[in-house]
Amino acid sequence: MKAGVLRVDEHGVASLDGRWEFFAGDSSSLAGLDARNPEPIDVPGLWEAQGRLELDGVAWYRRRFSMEDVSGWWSLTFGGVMDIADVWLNGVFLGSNDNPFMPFSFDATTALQRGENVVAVRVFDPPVDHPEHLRLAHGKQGWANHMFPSRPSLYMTYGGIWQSVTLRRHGAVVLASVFVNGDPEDLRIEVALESRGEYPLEARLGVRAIGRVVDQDVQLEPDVSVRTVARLGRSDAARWHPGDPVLHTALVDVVVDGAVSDRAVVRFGLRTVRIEGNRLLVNDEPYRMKSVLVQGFRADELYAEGKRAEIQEEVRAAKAMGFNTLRLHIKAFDPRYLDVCDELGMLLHCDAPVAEPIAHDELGADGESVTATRAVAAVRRQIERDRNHPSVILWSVMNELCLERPELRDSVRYQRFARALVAAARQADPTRPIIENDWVEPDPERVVAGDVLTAHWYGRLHAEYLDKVEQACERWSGEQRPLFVTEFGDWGLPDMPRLPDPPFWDARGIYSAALAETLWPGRVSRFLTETHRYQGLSDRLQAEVFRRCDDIGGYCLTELTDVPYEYNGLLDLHRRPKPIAVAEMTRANQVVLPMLRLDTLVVVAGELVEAPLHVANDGPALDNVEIHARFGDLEPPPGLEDPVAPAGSGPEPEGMGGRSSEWSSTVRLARLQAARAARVGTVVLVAPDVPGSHDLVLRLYAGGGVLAENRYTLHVVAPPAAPVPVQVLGDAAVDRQALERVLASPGESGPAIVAEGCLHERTAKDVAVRLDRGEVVVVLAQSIDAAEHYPVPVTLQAVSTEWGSSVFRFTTDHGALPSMPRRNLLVAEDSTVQAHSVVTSVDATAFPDTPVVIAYKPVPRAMTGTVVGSHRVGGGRLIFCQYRLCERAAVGDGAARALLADLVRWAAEPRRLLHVDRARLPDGRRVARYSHATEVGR
Amino acid sequence: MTERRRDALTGEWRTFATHRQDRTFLPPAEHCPLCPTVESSSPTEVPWPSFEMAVFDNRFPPLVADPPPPEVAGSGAYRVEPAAGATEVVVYADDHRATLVSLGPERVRLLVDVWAERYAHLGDRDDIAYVFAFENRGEAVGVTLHHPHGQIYGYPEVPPLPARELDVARRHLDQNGTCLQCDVVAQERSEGSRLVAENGAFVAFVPFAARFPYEVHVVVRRHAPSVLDLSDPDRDALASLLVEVVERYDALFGFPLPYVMSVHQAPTDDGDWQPVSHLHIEFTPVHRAANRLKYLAGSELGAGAFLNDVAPEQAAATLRSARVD
Repeated sequence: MKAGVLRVDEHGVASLDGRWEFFAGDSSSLAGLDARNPEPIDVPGLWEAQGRLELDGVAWYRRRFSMEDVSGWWSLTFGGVMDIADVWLNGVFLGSNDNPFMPFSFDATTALQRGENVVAVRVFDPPVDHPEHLRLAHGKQGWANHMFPSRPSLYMTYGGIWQSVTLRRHGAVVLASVFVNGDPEDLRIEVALESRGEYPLEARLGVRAIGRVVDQDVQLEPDVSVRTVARLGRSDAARWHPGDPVLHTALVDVVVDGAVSDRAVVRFGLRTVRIEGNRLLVNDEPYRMKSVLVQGFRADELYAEGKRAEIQEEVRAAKAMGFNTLRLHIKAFDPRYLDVCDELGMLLHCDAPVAEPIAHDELGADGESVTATRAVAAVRRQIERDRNHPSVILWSVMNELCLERPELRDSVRYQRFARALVAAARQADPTRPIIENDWVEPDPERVVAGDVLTAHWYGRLHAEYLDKVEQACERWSGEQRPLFVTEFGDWGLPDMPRLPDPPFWDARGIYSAALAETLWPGRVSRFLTETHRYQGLSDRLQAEVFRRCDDIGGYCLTELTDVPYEYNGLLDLHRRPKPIAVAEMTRANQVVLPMLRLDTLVVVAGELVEAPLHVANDGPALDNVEIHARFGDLEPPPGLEDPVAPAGSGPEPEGMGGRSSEWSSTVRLARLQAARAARVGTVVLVAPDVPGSHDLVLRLYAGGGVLAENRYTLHVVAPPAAPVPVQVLGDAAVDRQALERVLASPGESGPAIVAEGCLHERTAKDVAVRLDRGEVVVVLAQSIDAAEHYPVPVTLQAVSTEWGSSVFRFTTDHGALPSMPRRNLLVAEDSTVQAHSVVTSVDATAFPDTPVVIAYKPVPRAMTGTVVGSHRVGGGRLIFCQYRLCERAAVGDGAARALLADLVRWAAEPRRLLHVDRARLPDGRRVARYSHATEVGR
Repeated sequence: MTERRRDALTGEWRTFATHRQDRTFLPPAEHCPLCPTVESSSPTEVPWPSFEMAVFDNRFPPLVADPPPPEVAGSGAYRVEPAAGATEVVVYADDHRATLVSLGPERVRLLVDVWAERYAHLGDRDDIAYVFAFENRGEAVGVTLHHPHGQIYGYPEVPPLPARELDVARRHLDQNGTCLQCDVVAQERSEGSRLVAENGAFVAFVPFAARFPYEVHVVVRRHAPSVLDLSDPDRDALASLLVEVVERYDALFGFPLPYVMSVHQAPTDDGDWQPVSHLHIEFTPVHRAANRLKYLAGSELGAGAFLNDVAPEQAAATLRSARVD
């Protein structure tokens, strides 16, 4: 490649970005490259994003350039090379770097020459199984490869010069770093200077910011770094605030012998972050985290950031959804991302890329091992790079470290490591709180040096899970450190475009094939859209748990965008929104949020719906607040409003009043406290008498208008009634109670029902005899070890939510359960009766004759099974249901009662099925005749 | 010529199927193509000697799965597309003289199940955005075959009337957060003056602003976007109410009242129709009196503005009082 003339701009900077020579594989020497044919590659950019997806290990980069004027001192700076870089200039080894995310510079003064120059970089991207991989600072690269063994995915390792390369001319003294503490009460600017001169030098340092100037003389010895602080004092200049992100500029220059040797322009904001008890205060105002996690993966650039406009679009999208914070996840993002957040007023919680997998046996304090040294350096260097960004309010110096070996958290070695990382972070930035190990449970006794506790609570839209997380919030309330739920979130599958040559992350083929096999009767696109409804509601209801708890400082939803094989983004990988999920989280993020704590979203027509009413107010105090609850938004039609108020609305805190009728419920509050979440009353309403979906709408009025709105789509089912005799097999009192609750009469006649967990050797014989006689037998939910007792060979598989992936359930067109919509992805219709296992084969086929509810998990380890179905056995018919109904039905749960009544009626009255004979007319047209047939069994 | 052209002024698609000029027109009963094939030497469109209900591809289809290319090219303000879609005939019975009333609720339930099955099947096709089931009854509405039957069209886009309804429903949802038809049902049941009949799952009423004097809408009481979403009891209830409405029509003037019956339900494209689409069946009889038809004239055809000579409340009262055995 011909050496082009390098253009040096008026600031002495020349860019080495552009086309370089690339040599995949190692070379025994620099000179050895000459014997090889290079390929072209673009800098900056990961080589995987330039068609070299499978390349791991060593590759060389080389670029020739020509310079006429090489006078002065020069620094060669790389914005980031992934992972390990050795750099030569004109055959002179300049040095190495082993942090894949951080910028690094070398003094190029001696090596640079007039005329042609050659810069060469040996880049080493250790494969997943290389010991160096576990010793490097890294985020998701190489993570969970046991889950996703097929490369490539987000979890591959990456290589390349992925950020800009510059050559910069300066004087003998350079500004090594500038740190603005941003404190409006005591603004300080700390400057580190380095001398490249051969003799002692006297320099004059000038600092100008917020209209003030501080000059000072500095004595510098050769090759020595000096730190000095310019105190600018208290300032009334405009503060940086998310709603008004005012940025200031500090101009720093160093003058030697009357000439500017080096200068820096640093943007900063005036704002404070501090902890008071268990609250984090930003600018002395209580901060509630409403964050969304960003992994920094793009379809085009893979693990590198996009263009500035693309970053702006992404941050604006998050802001429009009501998020006030982004968690930049275990990756030191390109500083342009942080610049955009500074400008747009988006707060940041920045993770250092110190994460699993790691060389656990090499943990310890700084200097004890390569791993420890690199991790400490990664934390220190990232914070030093990013600490002037006012948007950053939190550092996480580890993420889920020891998740693979939790016992190590109690080891001295781990604790020394944790202390070393936190110490390095504090030394680099004493102004911000630090999360020591962004961990799955608060575990305060295991947090040895950090300021803030975290939880990563992943679960599904199950009543059991929501209860569990509610209890967890209560359990950890009262800690004396702020606690944030820094990860949670559910899944919705992206609708991927049909592409002739799909990229590696394209899963459309997987869904299409899987959904064809799963018997989903509709279009793939409809299924995908409905998963967004599930995702949105699941995310919102989980967020509401956190918002109801005053002692939880906020949450971070996983995640803003999908990444390959993680489909929990609100936007897909191409940044297209999943609109339903976006709308739900936007609702959850409102500053003032009225909420109901509903045990279930399934209610019986005409029955009372009673739920505690909570309000989270993240803003200032509000006076004279009214909260109205009603089904639907409109006033009821004239004549339908019940003039007689029924029973009251539960305990009422002081200063409150309220009224209720069958149709609406109102709670009045004299005052809603600032920055607090509290229970404010109880809503009691009568469920609509028409089955189907009905929105229970909450409106909060204050200051003469509607300030906030929330809504819950309730699935109203017809009053569960199966007034028929049944025979219960198995000794289960609760099942009898449940059956009586739906008006069935357990006795000696009617269809046989095997109680939950009661299919064993004895009942199995009875079941077999009955089926042979042509009877209908219902087998309620059984555990996996009961598989051998089914009257046909079946396999049962546990429904696991291993590593985040949701198990979606949907109904087919069979319609045997009238209380469930047909051909629907279930959202909350079954959230109180979740199956623990499903039937994955019946009589050597994947599905029973009549599959009614199916469960499907796409990744990892895809699974499809039947939750409810029926199958002909002998002359009779087996109906099985893996939903766990009886305990819930016995205590009145609407979904459980409705489904139990459906099953009993189905067993007692064989359904009419559509029978079709198909043929062709002589001219080829299709013709079919239809009739009704009756299911077998009596 | 078989093609679809978009009207530049209204944006509506119109289908051209010139071969339909040759279709069978009011044949004598003995040559009815919808009767069963009793003798193989005289095959009809239904190749079985008996049947309860049959569905076949229309012999003179305006829309087909594999349409020929249009004969003209679109240019400027004009757009032309192949006439893609489906046209099926649903024969309600093998009895040439049957009606929905004589067939009774059980057979009409089979019709509802067939609607659902065809909705599911046709709706799954990528080239069909709207599955439209309808019945024309009586020569006054252009029937060409007397054998009891309906039709199902699969359109490649949502046709104008349902599209307008869905658009209004969408705006209502955006403004009020509720399904428009759910609110209408609540209001009709509350006011009662336009009710014709109801049961546990469906309600029949003369619309508040009916276009035709004896227009009746049969609407599912709960929010169900399509026939497919109806449960077994819902389907029984729909069948029973459809029969009752037709019985009342037939009792109205003492003869089988000609009507068009249209099933309005959720489009089957990828739109989010669940919250806005509410299944309903519209009956539009064209009589305003026993011996007078409601013609679409200047105001209706020229301006699209319907004039109605009968107050909906009066029409409903008349239909309520029409004798039903």
